[in-house]
Amino acid sequence: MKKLEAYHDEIKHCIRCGACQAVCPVFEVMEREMAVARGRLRLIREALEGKLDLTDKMRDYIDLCVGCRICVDNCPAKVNTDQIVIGARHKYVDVKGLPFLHRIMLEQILSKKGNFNMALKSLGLARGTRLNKLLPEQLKKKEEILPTIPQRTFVQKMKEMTFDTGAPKKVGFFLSCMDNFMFPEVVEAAIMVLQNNDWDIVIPSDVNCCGAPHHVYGDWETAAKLAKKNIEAFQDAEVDYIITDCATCGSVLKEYGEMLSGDSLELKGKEFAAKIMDINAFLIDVVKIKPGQNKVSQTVTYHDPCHLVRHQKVSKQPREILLAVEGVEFRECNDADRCCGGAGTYNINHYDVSMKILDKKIENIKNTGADILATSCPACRIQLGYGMRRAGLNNTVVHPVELLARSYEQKD
Amino acid sequence: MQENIINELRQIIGQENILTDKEDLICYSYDATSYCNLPEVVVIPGSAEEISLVLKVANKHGIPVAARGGGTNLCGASIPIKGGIVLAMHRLNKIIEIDGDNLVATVEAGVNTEKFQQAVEAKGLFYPPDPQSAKMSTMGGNVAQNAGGPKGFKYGVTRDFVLGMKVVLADGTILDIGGKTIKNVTGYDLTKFFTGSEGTLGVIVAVTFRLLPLPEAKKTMLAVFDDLMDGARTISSIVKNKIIPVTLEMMDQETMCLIEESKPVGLPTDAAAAILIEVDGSEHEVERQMKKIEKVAREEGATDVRVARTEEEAAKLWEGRKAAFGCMALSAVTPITEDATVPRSKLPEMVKFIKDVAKKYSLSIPVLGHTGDGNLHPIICTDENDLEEMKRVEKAIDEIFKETLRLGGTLSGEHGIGLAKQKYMELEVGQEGLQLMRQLKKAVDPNNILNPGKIFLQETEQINEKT
Repeated sequence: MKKLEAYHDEIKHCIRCGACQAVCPVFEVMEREMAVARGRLRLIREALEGKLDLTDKMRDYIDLCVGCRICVDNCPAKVNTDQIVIGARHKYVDVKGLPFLHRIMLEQILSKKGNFNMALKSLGLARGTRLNKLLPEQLKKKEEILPTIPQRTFVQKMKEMTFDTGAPKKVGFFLSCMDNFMFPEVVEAAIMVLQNNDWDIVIPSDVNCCGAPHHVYGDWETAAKLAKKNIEAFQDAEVDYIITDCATCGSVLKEYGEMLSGDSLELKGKEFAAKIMDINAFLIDVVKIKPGQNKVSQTVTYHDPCHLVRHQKVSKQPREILLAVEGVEFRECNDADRCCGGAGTYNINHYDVSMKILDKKIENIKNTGADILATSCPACRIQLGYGMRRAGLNNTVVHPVELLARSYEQKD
Repeated sequence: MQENIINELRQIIGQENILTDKEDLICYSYDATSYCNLPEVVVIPGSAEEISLVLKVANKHGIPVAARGGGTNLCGASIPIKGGIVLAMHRLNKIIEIDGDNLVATVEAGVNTEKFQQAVEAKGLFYPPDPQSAKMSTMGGNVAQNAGGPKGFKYGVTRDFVLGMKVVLADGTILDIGGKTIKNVTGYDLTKFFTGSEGTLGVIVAVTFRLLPLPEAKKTMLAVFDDLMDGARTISSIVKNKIIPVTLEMMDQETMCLIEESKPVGLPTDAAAAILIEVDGSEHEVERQMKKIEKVAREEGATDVRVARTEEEAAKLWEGRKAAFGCMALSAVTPITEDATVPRSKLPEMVKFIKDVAKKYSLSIPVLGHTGDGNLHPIICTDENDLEEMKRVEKAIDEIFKETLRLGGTLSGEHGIGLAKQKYMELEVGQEGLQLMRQLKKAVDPNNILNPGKIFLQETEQINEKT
């Protein structure tokens, strides 16, 4: 990955025309220059030119970026602010280390599956015994963001599942932490869809966190370690494609080549990255799915995860999946590709800003009148599910493959 | 600034709306030019009354105050060049009223230009001025700079739509001037006095604008040329034929290539020039004008005349045009956009002159502009760090301005003078004109606290260094 200093020239191409102000979701709710690309770039530039120290305040402003990349898409000079922001966070980690809470989260929880599972199980327990009600008000709100935690993880469930059906083709599947712990039903739906289209699915259960949180918060060392473990986990899979239903995982898995640049595994990282495909794109472009016979009579709208629509340029395929399912009435949502404010743990770290962004999103979704909201990223799903509960709405949030899977379901 | 003054400001506005940390000040030190200077405090007021109290404090202590909207200024007018207070106006963002009976609307200064345009259009009304920064600029900023835009050709500029305003004077006096009526000859026209004053005469807090009914139909077309001069002649010819389209936006090849590289919208990069034309009116009138324009363009040598088939296609072309200034940053870290404006009959002459100057000083100067009203935007693509080139840039700008004035034109059609063009002021308005402006400024702002150092300097002021 490029270090911050390497971006100095690129930053100079920000001529402060202000185009980022027109699109930045954080600026929209905060309306301050520090909360938009040109402000951040200016601060970074001053720091690079020795006119500003790496202060905690500047770090706060850098951290306020959701990383949605909409400013980059809209920047006439094409300045990669999202990458520069990540570079700046890395610089901070380099010089000042990770802040305490990030360190616990990134080093102790997200990189260690057992600990992650235990943390969520403890949350489930706390909720069961209503201990969570005793949390201080600020923390309680943040705890409420998380959905109900399923009894069993996908890895626990998969022991009883059949994967080798003797289908002519097979594809690798990268199991995201979020799906494993929170939404195993999405993986089950993916398996059903693929098996119904004559594809077998290989799911290594020893994969680790994809490294996205570490990467975006500047802990590149841990991110690279995780990348290596994941490449190894797929070593014997013998597949041409590795798919994932998590937009965030997909976007960072595709970066493994660059994340391991200079490492002995760089080439392997590049090969691995080249195999990564979002499940929506894979189903439409490679599998060319045939939907099942069942009618799914629902009105559905779709939210584009930033990590899919802008980081991976996938927006048509999820809609094509929805439209392919018989009975689905698709309703486009206004500003469907705007960030929902979830952005990994942004909603926990910057609760108030995140909620203001979320409220705008929920309003747009509500205006579609759709019963179901589909989206292709578990992090968005958590945020949007919370948004629905906050607004007193009953709409369910699903991944497009779950609706597609319903078209194949056996009727009793 | 003394801590007790900042505390006074905190008491007026509230702690959360006063910013003094260096990180915050840096973010209010710049605009879309290459000038910058740190303010000492950023004040974010919520009402005219608060602004009045802030100005009283500033006036008492002689502290400079620069009001700031979207910070998209192209002449450095929003830079706090003398430090002091930046008055960030974005909290004043309410559309107070859209009065369909009287075809007027009143908005607070911080209302976003595009949001205002959309709000009136939703009611079947129309606010034509369309600075290309509409997505980020504010209505107060538009008035303070007397912003123009492509549609100025048919509809005029911001000034032509301002009917009344609420303005706070340097001593804190809150003044309501003008009103809702089109006709108003009661005394001096004070609304025009403050319009385009670049924040040097008062702080504009709210404005009442005249509106028009939204035209029934509009169409966008693109005339393509193999020779830039054919394009320039076509502009003059269309006007001579007594057709007034909404816009006549000419772009040369360099401009189109840079736009296409950044935002592919389908501009003909293999052509020497193209003119983006919008016509509006009744369905019948739109058809008639389009036919006539096509005929004139072809007679003057257009190789192709294309009509956008859908609204999306037209919108896309305009998106490209809007991004033009920013796109220049792809090839240059310092794009200097000028807006020398000449009587439209002199347009071909001026275009040729700019191209010759570019050649003479070995500079890249893509030309675009709202050419229908003679308002050219040569954009000098340079690098402020290249001191040798900057010397040539300065010479080129000198020549362009002198020629503009020789042809009976003006230094600035719509961007303003700010910091960027003040050294040329005397060339256009003369010593006497400058003297009158100085006297007017002194009469309303005797302590010179409102955006000092802009447009022209008072006799006692030092010349501003670009920082």
